[in-house]
Amino acid sequence: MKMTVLRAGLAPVLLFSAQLCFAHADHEPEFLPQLLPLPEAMAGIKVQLAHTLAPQLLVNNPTSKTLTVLAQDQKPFLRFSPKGAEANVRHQTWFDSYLPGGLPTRKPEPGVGADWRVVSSKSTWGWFDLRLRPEKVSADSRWSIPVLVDGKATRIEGKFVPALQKGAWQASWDKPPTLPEGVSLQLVPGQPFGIMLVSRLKTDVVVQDRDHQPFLRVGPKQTHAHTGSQLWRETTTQVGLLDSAQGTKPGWQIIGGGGRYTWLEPRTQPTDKTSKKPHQWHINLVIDNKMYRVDGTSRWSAAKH
Amino acid sequence: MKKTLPTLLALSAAITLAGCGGGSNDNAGATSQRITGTSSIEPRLNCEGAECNEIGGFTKPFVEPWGPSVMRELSETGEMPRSEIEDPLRTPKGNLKNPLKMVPQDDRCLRMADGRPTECKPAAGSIALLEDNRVLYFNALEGTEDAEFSIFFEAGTVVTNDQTRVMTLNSNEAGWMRPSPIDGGATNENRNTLLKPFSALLDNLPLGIDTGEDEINNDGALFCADLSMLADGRVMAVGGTDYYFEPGISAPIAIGLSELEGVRNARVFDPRNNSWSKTGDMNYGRWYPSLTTLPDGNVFVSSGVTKLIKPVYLERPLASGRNVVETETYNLGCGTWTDNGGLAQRSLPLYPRHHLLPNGHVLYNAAGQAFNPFGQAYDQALWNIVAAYDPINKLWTDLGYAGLPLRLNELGLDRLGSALNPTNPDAPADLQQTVTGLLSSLTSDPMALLSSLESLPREPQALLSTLIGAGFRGSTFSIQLPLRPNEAGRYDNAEFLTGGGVLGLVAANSPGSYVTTDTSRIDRINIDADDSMSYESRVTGNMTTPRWYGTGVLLPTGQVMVFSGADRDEVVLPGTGAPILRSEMFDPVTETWKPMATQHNPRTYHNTAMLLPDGRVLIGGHSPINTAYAFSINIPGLSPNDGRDPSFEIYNPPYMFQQRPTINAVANRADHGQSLNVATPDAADIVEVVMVRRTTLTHIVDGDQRTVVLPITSRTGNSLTVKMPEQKAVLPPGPYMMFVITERNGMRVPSESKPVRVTGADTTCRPDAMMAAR
Repeated sequence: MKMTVLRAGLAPVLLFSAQLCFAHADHEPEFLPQLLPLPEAMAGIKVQLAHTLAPQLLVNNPTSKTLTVLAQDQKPFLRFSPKGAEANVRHQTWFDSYLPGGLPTRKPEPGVGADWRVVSSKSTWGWFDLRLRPEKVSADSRWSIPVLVDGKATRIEGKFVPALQKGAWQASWDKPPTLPEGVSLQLVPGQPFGIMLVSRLKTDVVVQDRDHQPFLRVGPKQTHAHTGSQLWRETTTQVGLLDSAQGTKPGWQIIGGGGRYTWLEPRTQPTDKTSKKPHQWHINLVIDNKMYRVDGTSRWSAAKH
Repeated sequence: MKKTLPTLLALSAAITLAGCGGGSNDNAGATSQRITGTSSIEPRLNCEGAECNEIGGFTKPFVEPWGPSVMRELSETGEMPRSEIEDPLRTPKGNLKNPLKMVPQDDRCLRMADGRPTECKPAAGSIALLEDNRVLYFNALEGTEDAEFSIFFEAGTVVTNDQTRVMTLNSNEAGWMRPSPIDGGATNENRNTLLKPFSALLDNLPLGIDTGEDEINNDGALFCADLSMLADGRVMAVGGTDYYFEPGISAPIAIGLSELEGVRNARVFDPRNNSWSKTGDMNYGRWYPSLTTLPDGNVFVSSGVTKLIKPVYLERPLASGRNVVETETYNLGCGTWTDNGGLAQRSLPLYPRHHLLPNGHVLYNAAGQAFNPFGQAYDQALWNIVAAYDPINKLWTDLGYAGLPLRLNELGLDRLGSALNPTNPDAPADLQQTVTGLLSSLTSDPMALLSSLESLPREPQALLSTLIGAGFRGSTFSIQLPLRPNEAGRYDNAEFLTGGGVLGLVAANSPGSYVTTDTSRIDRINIDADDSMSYESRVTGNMTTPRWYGTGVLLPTGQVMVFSGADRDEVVLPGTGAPILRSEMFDPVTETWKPMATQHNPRTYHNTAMLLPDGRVLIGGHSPINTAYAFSINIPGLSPNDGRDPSFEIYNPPYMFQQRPTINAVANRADHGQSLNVATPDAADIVEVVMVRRTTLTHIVDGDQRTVVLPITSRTGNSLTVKMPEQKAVLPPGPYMMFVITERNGMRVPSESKPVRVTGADTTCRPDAMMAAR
């Protein structure tokens, strides 16, 4: 989910950087790699897929575990541990992944077995893995990078999505929401759309997430989010609250003043970004123990050229 | 905007470089103060007789004498060092020479034959009115004249630290001096090296490549900082820019992909010794942040971005691709910044338009700069929401979707039709056709309006938003209209005027459409006795012309002047806009705009304007981005883009030609709740006494701008007694100007002002703040 945020914010800017530096505008890829949720075995390890000079994997390993990244031949070429980031200078992939074009003049150090050299005292590194840029890509393509976490095999995996958005999703209600007097919803344009809930009730209005679990609670004086809600973890901009909620028992967390609250609502966009068909969505509210369902449809609006 | 997406990509990425570039010339690191001469101000204005009473007039431009002509003389006398032998291929800054490039050879800039960097006089891109009535200003985009091919690939080395100046203004003469250090003490010593993963890659290999880290020409320039006047009259500049290549090289030629880092620095100018010094660093680097003085004199900062072009933060991945969501507070007593915590975080545009409300909350007025990244962000939907930050409980409360609910007075109703026509090339025609029938049913009851719109097939509120230009607005001024007490003496509402700029294009879901508008709106916050807030909005008459980046100035009379700017967004494609020379005025009684006098010089990006103590208005600035992000060159008939304009002009509003009231004396210190005696021979005719906060302006943003009407509690023959507000948030501590105002034949006429410093700042260093500070 973190990567959803990053993709949306970074992709266009950083793709442009790549175009500038390598003048590959004519060969601009139609698909960009996207990171899927990390396996549980990598809990605590941060992985980011950024589109900088080219698609780049960035790893920060603040844990005490050792993360080893394997090359296509299943041999290690990068390692992250409390010692820092280390490179196996006897592996060609280390040099190939250093810059988008590799380091053509550098050859692996002679010898047998891995030769680990500390390349950063912090356990942080970014590399340009060629597996993120296969020669042939389609919407069904997947990419996968084998890693070892304290020797146990797992994978950093992802898929490919269309490279550029050539339009935007327009969300609208199917019909004006029918809600109790004093409660209203308003769509707020953006990608994704936001929704502003206004309540003049003395009781709480609860918004449910995709899993029908409590997501937000808008009361007369305060607004709370449920830290167990995946939707809140995906959409909150109060990243400090997100950090402090980690490792604590899920529960209600105050997030703002009462009576009115606006949140980002990814349900207004389809999860399948390749689809341009009208996307129907709904949101459930609970008011005085009664469920209210509001329905909407988002339509793809192509950009004008 | 019929552009292909790739074109937009290119332009928008270039935009990211836009706001800040900087680079200079003369020995920016100099530490000695120096008087740089005087210039006379031509007293004759560009209006005559009755015309002056109607539209006012401007003085001719005047400019600091120090500059190329003086430098040339010094050079010839051997007082200035000569550079090394000229390199036929490289400029003194190391970039490749462009034989086709022309540099202006007038008295603004000088390119010496021996190949020294171009010398240009600073323009007033940021400005502050000091308590002693002198003017502090500093340059914008210094050194960008030295871009030979493309500023995008050369900014890392050609930009230099922005110079500062202090100007003394008398009625017919201006004098200048150079503060110490002249660049405000530019450093970026607390840079987080993890911000530069790409250069780090190269640095870790023995390739013998210099990655272009350039700490000679620039390192923490003042440009893109925000300004605030502290309670004791010092001026604090917060943030700024460090330019470098990432990646890039500095030898054999300097070239690379320029990066702009928002720095953590906070620097303070002390007018007592004309010097800059560092104060505590912020916890987060910020480029384009916004400052607001709190009721206790502490200072709130929000937004900004730490890395503009490649906002990747390895150790804080959730922060990547975003503006800084963390807010901080500067503690006057400690001189340190404290992170306000998770509840105080909020996604905001760059340079968010903030104001302090009478209940002590900080308002976000749903306006700002929208060009990062690409004028869009994942969480941009939230930028449309008017919200307020409570500094006591450290949390935000949403107040409403900007522009809704709408209250239309009769005038707004009349004007709504033309509001549909501003500049959006496609949408208005369709919308107008769709909703023409609805216009006649608009009432002051917004709910009734919404219900009438509900019969339409489209989402009604979105349609209404489009109609009135609701939601986020980019590149607009935001003026807090005069705060007036109610009958009980309580200040229970605040109103804010925005006009022009660029509308959020609802149809495209972009907060920054780059299409200039002439719509104008007043947003109002009502504050109940328990300090709870409600929000409403009303449309005013349209501005006289669509205007991008006009600077608003609230006159003591309550009228709002707007100066400078261009007819289109000069960030998206610099050099292609037409400058707007005609000023205009908003009348708060009729809520309409009318054209006023015409200024002499075009002033588009990085223009400034501010009210002077005598009631006149100083205008200055103009430091455009290099033409189309290449090098500086004029496109005939459009904005001058061959460099900056270091000159100033002074606007004389119509009231300057009337018989004016005077203040003989008033105490120069005042505290909240205190009664003040104002000695004036015009006591019987005074209709209002106002306190005007001294301007601290950059990028058309002044988060502390305010005018407060003080209730007159008694009057005798030659004096008035006025009451200072009990609410500290109405008049936060700091230096103000007091004006008294008469009204004759429907025209309000202010006096010249007297300085009054509002006391009551909390200057204790609280341990809790220290402990919370990183």
